[in-house]
Amino acid sequence: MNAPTSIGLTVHVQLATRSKLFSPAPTTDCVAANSGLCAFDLGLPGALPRLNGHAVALAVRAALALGCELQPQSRFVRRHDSRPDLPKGYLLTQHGEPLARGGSIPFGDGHRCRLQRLYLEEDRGTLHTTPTATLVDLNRAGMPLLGIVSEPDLPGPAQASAFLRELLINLRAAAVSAAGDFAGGLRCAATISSPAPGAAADQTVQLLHLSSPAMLQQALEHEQSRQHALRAAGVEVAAETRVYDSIAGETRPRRDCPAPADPRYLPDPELPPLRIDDHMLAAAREWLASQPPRRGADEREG
Amino acid sequence: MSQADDALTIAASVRAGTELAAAVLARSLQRIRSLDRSLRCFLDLDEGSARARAEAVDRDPDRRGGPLAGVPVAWQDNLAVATERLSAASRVLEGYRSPFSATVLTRTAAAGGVLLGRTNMDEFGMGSSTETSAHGPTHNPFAHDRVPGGGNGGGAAAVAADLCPLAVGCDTGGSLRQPAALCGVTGLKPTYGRVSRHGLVAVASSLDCVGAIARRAADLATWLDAVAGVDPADPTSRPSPGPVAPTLPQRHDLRGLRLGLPWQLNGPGLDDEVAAGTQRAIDHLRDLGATLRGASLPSVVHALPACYLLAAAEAASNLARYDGVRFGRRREALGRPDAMTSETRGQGFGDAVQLRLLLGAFATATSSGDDWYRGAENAHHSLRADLRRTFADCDLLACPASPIPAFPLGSRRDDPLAMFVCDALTVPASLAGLPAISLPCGATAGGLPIGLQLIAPADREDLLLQVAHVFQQHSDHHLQRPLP
Repeated sequence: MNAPTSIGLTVHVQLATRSKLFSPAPTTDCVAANSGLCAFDLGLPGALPRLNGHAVALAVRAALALGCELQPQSRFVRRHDSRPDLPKGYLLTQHGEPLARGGSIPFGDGHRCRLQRLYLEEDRGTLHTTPTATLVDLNRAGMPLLGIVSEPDLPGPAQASAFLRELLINLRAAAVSAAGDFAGGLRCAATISSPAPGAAADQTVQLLHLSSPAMLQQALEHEQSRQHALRAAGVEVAAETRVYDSIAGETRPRRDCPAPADPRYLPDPELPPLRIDDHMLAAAREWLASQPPRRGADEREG
Repeated sequence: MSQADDALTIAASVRAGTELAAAVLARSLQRIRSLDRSLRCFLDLDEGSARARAEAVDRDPDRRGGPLAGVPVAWQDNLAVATERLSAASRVLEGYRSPFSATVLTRTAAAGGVLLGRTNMDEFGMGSSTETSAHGPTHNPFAHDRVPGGGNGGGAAAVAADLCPLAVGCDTGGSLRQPAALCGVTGLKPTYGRVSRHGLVAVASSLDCVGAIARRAADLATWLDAVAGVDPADPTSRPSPGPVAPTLPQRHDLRGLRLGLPWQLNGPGLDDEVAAGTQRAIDHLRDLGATLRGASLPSVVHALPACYLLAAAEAASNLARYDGVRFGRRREALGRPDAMTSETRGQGFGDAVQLRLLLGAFATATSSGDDWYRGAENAHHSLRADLRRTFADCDLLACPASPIPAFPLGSRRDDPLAMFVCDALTVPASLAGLPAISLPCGATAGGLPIGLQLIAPADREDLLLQVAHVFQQHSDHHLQRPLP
């Protein structure tokens, strides 16, 4: 007998702005590594963040399009980690006080998934490991990301994938992100939990680095059958973080990347609390109202 | 320099065309050459660049006519000047040159100021004696075997020894007011956000205030007007309520001024001579017309540990970027990239910095719970409430700027607690983000300067500097020079 499964998603898409979230550096793909960076992207001493108003406007529009409740005040916090691709030693994100909460998205045949929160976050740089060195490219550091966390309302891999497709269609219709149109613009993590009746311990497994609805579905299916096999053998599923290998067609414990450090969340003292003014709100409403009605579900591309 | 070589006198003569900025600078450089070998206020002074900047003022009619025309200005080694070195007196930034300039210095220069050179400080401002500097200590011009105070001991000593009339720096918990008191000069910490922090090496971002040290309050008022106000590059900068310098002549005495004396800051733990000197100054303010009022700030006992903890927590975060990956001095290490980072930080940061980084990381660690940081924030809120209540029936608060006069070099260096009580009287204004000033108000029997501190409500630099100006027009403490 299989227990009911509950799946929740954390989705990051890049916002369609010309410049980064806290610096005037361009977001266009730079061919050369570490080109077009500003002082803040490099974490130079004395450089301060300047919040990109366009990124905020797009996030507000996304929140309205998804039916989320904009919060009167949100705040940026620092999530610390010591990694060469984090030039400041921390990532600016919104944790306890996000831009928006709530909302829900209908998808498929009468399904609905609630949203927990929607927030702004900066991206980190990328690391390239060669046999002799670790190379750092900060072109992506500071790219504006929109984070969306769903409630664990999704009953299975197919529904999770359908929900993600619907979410991306909504974001594209609101013209806040081109995610899904090209590789790298979408990052998704999933939590999957199907506790055996009476199980005391938390058995939630987190799957990282899923970059498309199809990949999400495959990863969840593989993970689900792995868990069924374990339970059939009488083994308890351990709560852990795993990654999906699409070539081998299996999930496995995260080995290559070390466990994340203590985030030591600290309210960012350099950015005042973010309050959305009526002007920005009205502009976002007006833009959404000016759009033609959405096409029917059967016409949508996959 | 002559007795009259204060910032405003220089600016007036350069504006009038009776003197060239280059000639003023040459006098400054001459003083530095003869005195700074023993004082050690300046770090790698580049005379050529300073001369070029003075000549640029002489060529530019706008700057030559500015409020700070031709005034040589020292800047603390935690403020960036494009292409100049910037080290925060730390080995971790050895060899680093900033590609951009701090807004406060750009504005100082636009007003006619001549950027002279960078001054010594405690490493990342962590200390109260300038002894934690990777470049070695600065000496107090009034007693060479004593400390000048800190963080900005170099700037305070430079103004005290007449090496330059104005020194710009940062006050986080007293880093301008305490050294100003120990060196017998005037130090201003403006309201948080009144002066842009863009280009300031961030340590405790929610406490750091850019301010300055000069001979007289009037010099500081003119400087503040030139630099204050919104800067798009600093989201915490705020609009200035209006120029201060033009309001100084409006007040000739202190009639109607209600001066609050919080007993917690005016008695316990004070050196006898400091207490007596401050009391004489407060009596003088009363003689000038001020009404004295008793006041109480019960939560002030928590201000020092709270300020220390918040500063450490923010410092641990702000200093995470010094990892040797992108700039500064890198210590290579084999193996994983984090081995290089720990080598770089272990070798690059001095003991005082490492102590605070460990404390800050501990206080914000998830495993430590919320208690430490939350406790500090609570202390912060109750202090603000106390101050709001006190300012309902006082216009300004008065107390000493430092509980003790300049102490011998080395006497407190290895005792972090003895060092950190030096800031006990200056941290309340820092924690509450209020403007405060330290004014020379006499000396000990041994000739060591004593500083009076005045604290005003937010954005009341006008009142603060008016009162300081009246005091200085009726006293000559600020004109006392160290014996040659």
